[in-house]
Amino acid sequence: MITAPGCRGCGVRAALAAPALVALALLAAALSSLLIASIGGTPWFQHYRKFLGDDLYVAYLVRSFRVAAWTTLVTIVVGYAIAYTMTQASATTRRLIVMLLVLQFFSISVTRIYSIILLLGNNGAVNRSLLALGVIDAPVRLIYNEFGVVIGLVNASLPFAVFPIFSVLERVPSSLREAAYTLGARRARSFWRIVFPLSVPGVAASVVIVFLYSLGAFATPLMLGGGFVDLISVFAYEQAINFSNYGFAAAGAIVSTVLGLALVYAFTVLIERRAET
Amino acid sequence: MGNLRTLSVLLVGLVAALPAAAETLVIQTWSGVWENGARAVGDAFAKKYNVEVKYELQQNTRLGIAKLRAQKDNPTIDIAFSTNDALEQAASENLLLPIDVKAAPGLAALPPKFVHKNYLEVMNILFGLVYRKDLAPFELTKWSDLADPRLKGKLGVPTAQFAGGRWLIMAALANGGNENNMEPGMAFLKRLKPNILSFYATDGESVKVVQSGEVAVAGLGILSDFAKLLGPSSQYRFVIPDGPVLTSVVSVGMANPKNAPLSLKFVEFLAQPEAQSAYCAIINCTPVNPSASPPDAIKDFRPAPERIYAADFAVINGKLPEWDEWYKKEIQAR
Repeated sequence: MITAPGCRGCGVRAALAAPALVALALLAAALSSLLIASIGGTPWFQHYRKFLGDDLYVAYLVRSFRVAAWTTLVTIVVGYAIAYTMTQASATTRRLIVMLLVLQFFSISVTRIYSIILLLGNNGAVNRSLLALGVIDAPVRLIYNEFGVVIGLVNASLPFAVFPIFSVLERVPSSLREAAYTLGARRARSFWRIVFPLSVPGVAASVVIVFLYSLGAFATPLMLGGGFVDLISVFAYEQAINFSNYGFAAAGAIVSTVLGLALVYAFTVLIERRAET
Repeated sequence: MGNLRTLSVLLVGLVAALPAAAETLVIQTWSGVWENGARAVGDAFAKKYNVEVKYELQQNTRLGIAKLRAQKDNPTIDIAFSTNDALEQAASENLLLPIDVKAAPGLAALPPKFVHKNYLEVMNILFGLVYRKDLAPFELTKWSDLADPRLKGKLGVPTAQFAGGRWLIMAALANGGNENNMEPGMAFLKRLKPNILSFYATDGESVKVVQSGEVAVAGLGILSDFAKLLGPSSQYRFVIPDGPVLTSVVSVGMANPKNAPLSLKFVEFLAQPEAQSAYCAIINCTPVNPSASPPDAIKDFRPAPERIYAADFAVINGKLPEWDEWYKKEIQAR
């Protein structure tokens, strides 16, 4: 093989870049076809006008972003607590937590969701226990509402939060905290002033992953929402598959994707600016 | 040269001695008990005609049609098991081959109304309301019982898109309407709203919500799904109230022109009483071939033929998106 002088490793780089380019091209082609389908029809942009002009469809969008925001907030708080515990725990406890998270991550989603129904449903273990103890007179509605969907999504997305945060927290030198203690800082102060700022990149990565994952969730809202909390993915599925209305489904998907990406972009810019100051 | 000739003769002899590659038929069907039914007839067909039968599963009826649509220009599915309304839709999109009745004399075994231009109706599936005796506060016998205030928060009902809109049609029929007059059904559905705990989109979900005890009553269920749970000592009750009966018809269509002759042979095979009885024994359905008999488990549910309502799915398929919007705004919204 002839290699141009000064370009050692170019061949390897090209070989590595090729699969990435193919993947990018496929992604671009898929998004382009979605975009074309959403614009097409007579008159042009009719699908966007219908989607954005009807409260029923705008509600899908609002609900999706609200559920994704709540899920992200709860997941990050719970995930951070777990990740922090892992950094403080013994190697055995840490392995156990990792094992549980990995097991949960690879479990079949429908089974996982169904287990939540058996736990929190009208006839679930929680309601039956509360009824048996006389705490309530009638079952409390814990699922078939946004609360239930958020619980399900938090359960599903927890590994996406724990691992990025843990990987950052693990690298915070314990000597920094010890120095703070030596200088008189209490645990809470040393956490908020030293540990947390250093873990922000992990938190930011988790926020983006969990938010986008929740925004596109399908099975969880379908099963735990009980038909009352259908998100944008359910809308797209119903329109594309049940009604063969690809253009309309694509318009909803494009609006949701663009808004989601804009939010993520704004968030990352904000985080970067904070990091610079 | 002589050696080469001998070798050639040997090779030709060897190739001739090899069994010819078996013809292959690809059948698309639903999973679970539906797959078992399709396999019962598919495997019998494979044995009779010495062909290979492969099975591809569809998650639900509409995804099955979506798959036919996606491979329209180069189909790999030969036979599609579906419902009559979905195949009506598929035929309107030119996804199905015409059925050549002259080339398939075996189709004469069926009453002509079941043999359509592009698909064949083969078995009737019955719909009714389902409840659990241990959870429901009273015995349900009629559709209007679903609106009883004692069922508040105990009722699960289908989405508008369930089974091609049959829930909406059933609501209309039970209240004196039909697909051309949906007002009575819509008014009835509004009365049900306070009782509704959750909605289900598939028949699989309808079974799960009843089995788990989440709801005491499912507004519309498929007998084939619940038949195995019924019995004198069972807590489950399946009721087909008086009045018009709505069915779903398991139907088959042919999608692959390259394999049309073998596909037609299968369709012809499926029309025969033996195949129909074998399929229905597993699915718990009613064969459309008058010489075939339904399984004992559902004999008591068989409605008189004049009670079966022949819905116009050309109208329903056209109107369903509009009704779905109404349902989501008026019934599915809290």
